[in-house]
Amino acid sequence: WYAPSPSSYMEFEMITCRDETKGLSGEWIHRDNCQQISELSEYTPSSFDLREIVFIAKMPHTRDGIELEYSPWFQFLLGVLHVDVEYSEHFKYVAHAPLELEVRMGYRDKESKKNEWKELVTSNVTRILECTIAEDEKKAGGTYDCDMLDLFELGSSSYPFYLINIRIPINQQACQFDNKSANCQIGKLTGLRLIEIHQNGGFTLVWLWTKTFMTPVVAICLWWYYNRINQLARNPLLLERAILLLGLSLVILDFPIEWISLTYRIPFLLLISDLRQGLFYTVLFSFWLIFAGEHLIDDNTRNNLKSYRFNLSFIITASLGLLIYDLIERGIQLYDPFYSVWSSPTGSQIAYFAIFISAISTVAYFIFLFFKIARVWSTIKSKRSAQIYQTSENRRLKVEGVIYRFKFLMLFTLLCSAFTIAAYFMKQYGEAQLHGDEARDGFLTGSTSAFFTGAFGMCNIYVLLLLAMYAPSHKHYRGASQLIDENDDDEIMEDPSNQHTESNAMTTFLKPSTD
Amino acid sequence: ANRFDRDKPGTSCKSLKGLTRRQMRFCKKNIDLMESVRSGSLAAHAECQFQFHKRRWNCTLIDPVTHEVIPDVFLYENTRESAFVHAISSAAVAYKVTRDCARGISERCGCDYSKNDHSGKSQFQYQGCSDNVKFGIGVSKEFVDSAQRRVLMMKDDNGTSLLGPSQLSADGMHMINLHNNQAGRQVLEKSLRRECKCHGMSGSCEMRTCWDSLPNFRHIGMAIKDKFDGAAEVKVVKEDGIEKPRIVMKNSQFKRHTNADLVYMTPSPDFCESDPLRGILGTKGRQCTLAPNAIDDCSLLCCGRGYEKKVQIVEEKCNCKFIYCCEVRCEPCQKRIEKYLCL
Repeated sequence: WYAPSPSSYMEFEMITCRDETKGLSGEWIHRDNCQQISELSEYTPSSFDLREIVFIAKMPHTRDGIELEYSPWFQFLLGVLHVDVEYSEHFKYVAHAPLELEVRMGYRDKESKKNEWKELVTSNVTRILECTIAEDEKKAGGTYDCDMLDLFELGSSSYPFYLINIRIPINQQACQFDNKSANCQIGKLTGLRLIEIHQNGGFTLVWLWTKTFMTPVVAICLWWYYNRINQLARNPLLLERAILLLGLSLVILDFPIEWISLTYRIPFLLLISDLRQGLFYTVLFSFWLIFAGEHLIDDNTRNNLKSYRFNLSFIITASLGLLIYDLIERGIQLYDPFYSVWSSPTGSQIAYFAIFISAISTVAYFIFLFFKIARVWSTIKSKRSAQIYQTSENRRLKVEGVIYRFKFLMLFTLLCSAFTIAAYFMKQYGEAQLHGDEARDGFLTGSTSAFFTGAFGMCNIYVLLLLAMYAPSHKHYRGASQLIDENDDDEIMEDPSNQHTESNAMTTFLKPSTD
Repeated sequence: ANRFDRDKPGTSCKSLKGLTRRQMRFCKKNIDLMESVRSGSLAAHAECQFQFHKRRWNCTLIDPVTHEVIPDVFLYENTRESAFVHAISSAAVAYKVTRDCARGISERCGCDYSKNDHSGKSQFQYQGCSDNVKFGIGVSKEFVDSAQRRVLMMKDDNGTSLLGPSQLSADGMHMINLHNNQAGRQVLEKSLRRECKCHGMSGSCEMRTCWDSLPNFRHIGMAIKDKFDGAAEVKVVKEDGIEKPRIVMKNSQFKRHTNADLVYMTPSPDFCESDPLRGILGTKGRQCTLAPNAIDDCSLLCCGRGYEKKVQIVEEKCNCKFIYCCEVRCEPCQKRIEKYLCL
């Protein structure tokens, strides 16, 4: 059985055609009515605004004599544009030249005739063309090395065929007036290449079934955990609520909403899946923080979300920054697939700002998290040495339980992240191998999709185990070795919630071993 | 302008000269691709002439007057030049086929040349259809290499028991040519530039798609020229017990050549004197310069026969002005040019 890589691409070298009507007729230019310009550099245009030159690409290609089709299984389509610029003494490229494209994107249904294209979107696209050239290439025939440009991003691939017509108009007067105007400094353009990227149908299949399989498992587990908490005589602890929330966000992340996209056209799916992932990471990070904090044995301010607000604010800021960025970028792309925050100076400033703030907050969060974990470790050490021979059985068991629980999760988390990181590097290595000299088919090359499903499964198992292991026990312990959870002995008498003592599953495991 | 009539592959293919039987079969089967193959060989020729225009042998393969291919016998002698021509031809065919597939001109382009099961649509839906380069290389392998296979096939027919020395050398020559063809394609593969696009959550690199993009063909020409300069002299030996002859270095002290290195067996002639029977034009009448260290320095290029100076008055464009947009207006002016031609 062969799992395909998560995504694949198709390259389109756009054909240049001549359109005497300059696009005024509204006619689609396609392969069959194209008056092809074989060599763009030798072509003398009859107009000054160059609207008569049309770059076209029909997606996807015909291969092996079969007309291929896009399918809803592809989930998304995105296009990257390569601009080929040749060095020329007359048409000089100036760095950071603004490039403006008039793009028309059409689609065709399976039933309609061969060249009956319908309008999907028309847009004026502005991008900044960033190219570099080596000194020794600066002669006729030398080529610039240009950064690729994001062209479009479709949140659903609902039509089988697409057609793209691009014109690159030049406004002569504007150029003379201000040579910073669009398309005045893009140099001698020799061609456009379009790379289309989509998720592989096979990967979607595997992924969707994994999700469909995982969702009920996690949901049942969550329900069980919820019941456990509800059966408690006391109010659930903060930690327990955090685990509940984590489970809930995992169910939301797992829920296979993508099945709908196979029949209906829902372009906002890309945004939703980003939001779901963002929610999960936010809750996971918050959980780690709360978990570490709740194990500071001597800190009396526990079990209170307010005491974490300083640290939590980092997570909130980071998520908010990314949320804003994502809402702008993917949100506006719902209306205009050719939109990009990065294309305008203000937009890219906002985007940079949002991402920068998020990155700073994330770093700050991890610093505080590690600081907290270090404090927990040192507390554990001091507690152990001070209290291991203490006479109070309850106290000893309680402290041991806290230590054991903490160590277990700590090791488990480390193990999971180690696996994820290892898998990530294996994936990177596998991709690097693809480009190797002769070893074209290394055994790691197919590991990319394995990495995704592996990481996803790990994530699920992690949360499932948390739900199972850290569920509070509903059994009552009486007698001499009564276990007291969480709260300090001193507070027992004052705190009514501790009248019925509850124990954790983990401490229950621990009990026989320490008895 | 399309010389290949897709409806009549038989006659179109027969109009091409110099194809072997296998190539003819390929042509009839893949008439869609022949235009790319043809433009590939033209590109190879142009690139070869560009790379060698300053050398004694300037890659003249087509007679400028009669437009016929010169019977360049010395190219069959496994010289360095022959190695270059083989490598650049196979690279250029692969290059052009790849580009034309990306343009969507040919409907015959495939997803993966190695697989013959054309499951088409469902295959594309399941795992995509990406690699044009592999397909181009596959076409180059089949078309260019099939010019070489003939003798190897004969060997298989004869059995391997008794191979005469002439048979071995013919085999060896074909092995060398196949190796150089392969080397050209390897250079092409190595000069691909890998580019990646991240498209995970919020555009993070959690999900990433990479593709290989072709450089300018000039880059590939340059790379193969570098291989030409560092080509290895080899010999073909037939060892007892092993069916296939092997290519080994002539001077065993040097490092063994890799698959991407060019190899040759016969040292090149000096190309000084004209030898029409071997396809050597000689350097008589060639233009040279008076720079002592240049490759086309007159003393080097003219093989010590001396040179003559010619003064020409030519009209040139000057004082060019660029008029927005897209037009360059120049004034004609006269210029005196000194030319040096080999005797």
